[in-house]
Amino acid sequence: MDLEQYYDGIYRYCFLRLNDRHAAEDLAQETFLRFLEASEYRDMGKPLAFLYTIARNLCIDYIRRCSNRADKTSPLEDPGSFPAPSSEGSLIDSLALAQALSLLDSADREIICLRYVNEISVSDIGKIMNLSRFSVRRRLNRSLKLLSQHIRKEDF
Amino acid sequence: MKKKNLKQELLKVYQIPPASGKQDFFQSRRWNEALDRVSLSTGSPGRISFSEFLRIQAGYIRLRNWLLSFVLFFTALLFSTGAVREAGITSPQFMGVLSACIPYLALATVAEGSRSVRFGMEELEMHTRFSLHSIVCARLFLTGIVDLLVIGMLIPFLHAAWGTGLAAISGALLIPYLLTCSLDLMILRRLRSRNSISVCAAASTGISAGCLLLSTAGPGVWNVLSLSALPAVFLLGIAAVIESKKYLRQSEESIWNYTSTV
Amino acid sequence: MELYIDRLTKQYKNKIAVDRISLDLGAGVHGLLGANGAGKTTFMRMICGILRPDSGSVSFDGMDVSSEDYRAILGYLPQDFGYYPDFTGMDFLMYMASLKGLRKKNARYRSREFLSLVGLEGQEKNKIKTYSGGMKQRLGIAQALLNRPKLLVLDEPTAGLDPKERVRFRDLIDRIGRESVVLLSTHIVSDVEQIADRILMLQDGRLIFDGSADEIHGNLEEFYLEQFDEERNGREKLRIRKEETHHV
Repeated sequence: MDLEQYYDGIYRYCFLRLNDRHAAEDLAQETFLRFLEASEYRDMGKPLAFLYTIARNLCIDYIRRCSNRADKTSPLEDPGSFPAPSSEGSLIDSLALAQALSLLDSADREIICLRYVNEISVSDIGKIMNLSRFSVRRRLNRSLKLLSQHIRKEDF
Repeated sequence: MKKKNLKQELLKVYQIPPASGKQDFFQSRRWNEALDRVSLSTGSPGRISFSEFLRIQAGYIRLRNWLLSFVLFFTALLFSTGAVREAGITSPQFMGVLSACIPYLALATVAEGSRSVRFGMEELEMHTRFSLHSIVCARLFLTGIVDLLVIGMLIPFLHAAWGTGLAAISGALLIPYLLTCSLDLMILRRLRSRNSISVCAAASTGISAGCLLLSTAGPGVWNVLSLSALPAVFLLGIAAVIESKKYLRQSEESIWNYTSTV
Repeated sequence: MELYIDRLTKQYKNKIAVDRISLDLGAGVHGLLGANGAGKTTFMRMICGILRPDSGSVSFDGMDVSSEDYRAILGYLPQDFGYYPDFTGMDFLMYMASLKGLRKKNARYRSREFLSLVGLEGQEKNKIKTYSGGMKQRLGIAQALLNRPKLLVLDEPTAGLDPKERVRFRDLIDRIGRESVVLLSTHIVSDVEQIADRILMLQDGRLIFDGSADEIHGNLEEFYLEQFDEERNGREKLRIRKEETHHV
């Protein structure tokens, strides 16, 4: 089992949640260490879903810890949410997409990113987010429709 | 919006900087010590599978082995071009020369499979998780497959270029190959010593010379044999498989030269 | 952690090399003493699964000597070993690590670690053929440790080491012996006296002594020689008796 191949994906996921390069890298590494510790792990098939589940929980904990701290200037929103992209930083072409993404709820954004940025299968996303495969697919389709509607509107 | 572009677009929107610590992390003390604590039992992340082992072993097969296959392949192609054919080489002559080269291909494969004994690594290679048996198996399998691929690709090509019958070409290429493999493996098995590969080399040269003689004595001998070559290929194929199995079985058994120390 | 050896026997033609040896070894350093030809190497090869015994069995924590799991926790330094030409020290360790089933990154990390542990750092890029006997031996020791073995078998490990290297080796083995079963053979008595917690003496394939150095009350070397003298005397007596009976 070659774990190294999952590093970039896990890092990307953490970055999407935290929007902080260092924190994302730290949590990605922590994910791999936790994975080994939980290594009563024996032939449970591909480790992918398990790794993402660990990463997801670490991210949620991290966000909670940050927002509990006194300074509310932290850019992170309430625990468990998946941040929308800020449209300031994005390029003109992507402006429409950024705006469209901010219309989705955070779980839908997370699903879209897992599916299309990290290219994880629908059934694995279900395992990671503790949802049924059908509801993942339903949410995906709904989000895609919404995104494309919004973008088409912007085009005119 | 195309789903294909969505990834690119999302990456643009989120602007994810590349990870920088991957290499350092997997080399770090923290990670490696954590890995040490993981048991090496089946299915654990610290352990590599047989297919990964095969890939690593392929890297340890000497370059000259691959080179020999490719040189043989491309030389055969080159000599089959119209210009060379018109220079007056006849199809039986060409087959004769080609079949005389084949035993050396087989010798290289067998030599690869017997390197452990030749360089005194067998005792070290026997005590490890992937033991000598798997190593010899991997080496014979990897080089043998490449040889057979080369021969397999040459057969239809030569048939098209020279017009010789498929059965005749198969006989000319496979009979010396399988014969040399079986004979050399038998020699290695019987004479387990560091120098037995030179005996193999002599045997291979013998077969090579035989092929050459056969083609000069009766030009077109492979053509004459034609269809009757196929049963011979079949039988020699079985012999080669049996010899490989016997050789492999011996490699999982014990040290043969306990003469030095008891 | 326990190495369990039960009535292990090996015979070559008409010579019994190892004769029904039964042993239980726990964590610690065990020194195997015996003259050349006493059966040490045969015994060790059987423990490493390299040589098939005629009868008897070897197992470690329930794993049979012939299993992959057993080999996964085994480290072995043969009395003599070769290497593929053109291998550098690092190549050699990386190759052995791949056979032990380690991943490349992890293998590189451990190779570096053990190279420095045996004092070969800075030499890893040099070809093994340029190494001295002692360096090659230390490389062999590093190789045996790569998979952090629970059972470490070393056949004449101190051969070719100079006095300074011996001290370093002794410290290393002492540390490893705290958490693994270590069995090392030698024909040099002083080696074993200093390193081993328990001493096993082998003669003509049989175990003639099994105990700690303290049990001997005094000089191990003297005791060792005595054992062999007694044995020789015994045989002499036997021969004389036989001759007597012939005369009668």
